[in-house]
Amino acid sequence: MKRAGKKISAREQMLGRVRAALGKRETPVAPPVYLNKTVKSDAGFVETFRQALTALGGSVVEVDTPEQARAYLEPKLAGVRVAASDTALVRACGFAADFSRASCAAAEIGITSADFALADTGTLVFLSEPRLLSLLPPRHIAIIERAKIIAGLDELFERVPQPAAVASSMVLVTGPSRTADIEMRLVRGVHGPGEILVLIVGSGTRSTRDASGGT
Amino acid sequence: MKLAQIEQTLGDPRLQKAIYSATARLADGRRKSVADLAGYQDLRERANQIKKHTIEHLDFYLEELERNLVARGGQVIWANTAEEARDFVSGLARERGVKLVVKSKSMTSEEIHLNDHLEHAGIEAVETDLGEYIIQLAHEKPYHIIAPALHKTREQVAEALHADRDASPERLTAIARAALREKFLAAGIGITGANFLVADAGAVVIVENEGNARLSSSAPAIHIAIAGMEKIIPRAQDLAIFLKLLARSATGQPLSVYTSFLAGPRRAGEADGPGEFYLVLVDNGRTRVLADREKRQSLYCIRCGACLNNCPVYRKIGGYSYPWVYSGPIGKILTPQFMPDSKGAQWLPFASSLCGACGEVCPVKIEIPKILLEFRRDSAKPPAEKAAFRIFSWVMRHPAAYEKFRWLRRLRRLPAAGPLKAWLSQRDLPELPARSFREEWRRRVRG
Repeated sequence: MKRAGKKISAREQMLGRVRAALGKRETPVAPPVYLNKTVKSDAGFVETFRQALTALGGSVVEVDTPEQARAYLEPKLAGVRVAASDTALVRACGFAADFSRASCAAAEIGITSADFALADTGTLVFLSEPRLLSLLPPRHIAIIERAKIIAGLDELFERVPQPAAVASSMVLVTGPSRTADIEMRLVRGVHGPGEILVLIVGSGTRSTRDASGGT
Repeated sequence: MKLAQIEQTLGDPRLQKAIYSATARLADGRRKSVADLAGYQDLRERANQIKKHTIEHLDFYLEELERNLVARGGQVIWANTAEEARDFVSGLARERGVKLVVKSKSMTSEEIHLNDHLEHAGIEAVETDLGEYIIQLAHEKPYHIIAPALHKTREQVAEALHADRDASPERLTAIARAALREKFLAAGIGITGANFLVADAGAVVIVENEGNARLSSSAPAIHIAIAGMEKIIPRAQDLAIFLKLLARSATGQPLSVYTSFLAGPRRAGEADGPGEFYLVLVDNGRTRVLADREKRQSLYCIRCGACLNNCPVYRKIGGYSYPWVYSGPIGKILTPQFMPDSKGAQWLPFASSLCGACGEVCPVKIEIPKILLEFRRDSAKPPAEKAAFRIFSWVMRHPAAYEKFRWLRRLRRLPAAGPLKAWLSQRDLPELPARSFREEWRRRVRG
């Protein structure tokens, strides 16, 4: 009770000082929201995403079906401790949901999907995935549908104008965890994963990839 | 300014090189990445307008923020002073029986001296940003807003981490990762700062590269975000502007590795996240700044560090020569406003060449050079200096009188005596040529 009483008074004091400092004003009319909508649903998104994420030290692989994703991953996962999220696409690739804190802490690889991917920055966007799964394991694999790739930040905030209405956390992940705190030298994998692999599932226009030589 | 520290920094060639190359790298990164950003100047202008609007209606947005955060299960703690903010944190830790706290980098927590306070309260507070961790182990303060350990050599880092002297940065990072991972999983409270507070969401936004802020805000059962009350923006959608500017201005990255948008504690059906969520809104002098119509724009700052990296003064004298946690050009305008009684702070606006670089690179267009001039205009000057400059000004505006003072040139050097001695001790005047421009003009043109 005592703390609650003190809190109210500090609140009133601070707001009182703000009002005294600013004086009498009109009702606020905020500058208009500005989202740059010039780039939209371009077939080149996959290639842009690949280039952006690869430049940051991540890797991007395209497959047509979840089965192909599984086949691609299987040899890499032999004997490796994996934790995976309870997402339809992750399940479809044959991974059983296992994302307890202990599993995330012990796993070598965390497997998630993503709610969106931003092409221009190579970013993965998580609204519904467990937070620790893309954070505690030293390696992160994200399996996403091709259709989840959107242009960038502007389109994200157009599609999700209020992230807080969807989940308690929205996280944007742009490449592997990194630091330059020791003599400005880039080191990957400080606290989060040092490796990121994004598997894009779904057949679509491949012309951009084929034109650039593909993988 | 700390004169002894300045002398020491200028006299240390290794440190000079470290500051110079680190800031050059960050400044180059910024320049290249804003050049690639379509409509960069337009975005700066919009960011400025949004900040201006929000600061001028701060009461409105703070209340909206609180309403929305409370609706999502979070709590807002209003702290008039640093002490109130500190006391809340230690009080909550005591109440919940928490002995170990993990912290991600936060200038506001540096400002309120949170770590010392927690240590005295018997609570272990571990800095988890690699640079901050190094600084904490070495018992020092951050050297730069975004690169706290930029003055440390890898040998010094190895020493702080009790590693082999010749350990590589990769090895040193791995050692820190392992030590800190245990702390993250054992800590009862995670403390972070906030880059933005979003009013219409009731959310805090944290931007970082390492993942330690994500861990601090996700692994422990309690998350406390500590933020200056000016960090607020009206809408989540405004982030499309600010996120594009922040990382580019800071390090040259299009986006930092992790951007966390956190609105309250874990919800029903969510896999993880903290069970309790607190936002501490810190005043600690901000409302005083707000009252000054000319200088309130100092509160637009998003702490990117671009003004430091582009400042010829910071790049010579480094972070420790400034009297407060905020160094560089932004420190020069914040410190005298937050600490009006500090003698050292009052001279900060004079430690500038007025080159204007800080204003040019500021992503939210704070007119730092203009504010520096306002401080200079308003500062108390000794009567002798005032008189001397009044005479100088008059002479310079009257050619006939100026000619009469020609003999002064023959001195070549002003006498370093009396009041001039102190003035000249900090200034290098240029060598005068044998003949003045006027003499040369007469000789050549009039022959």
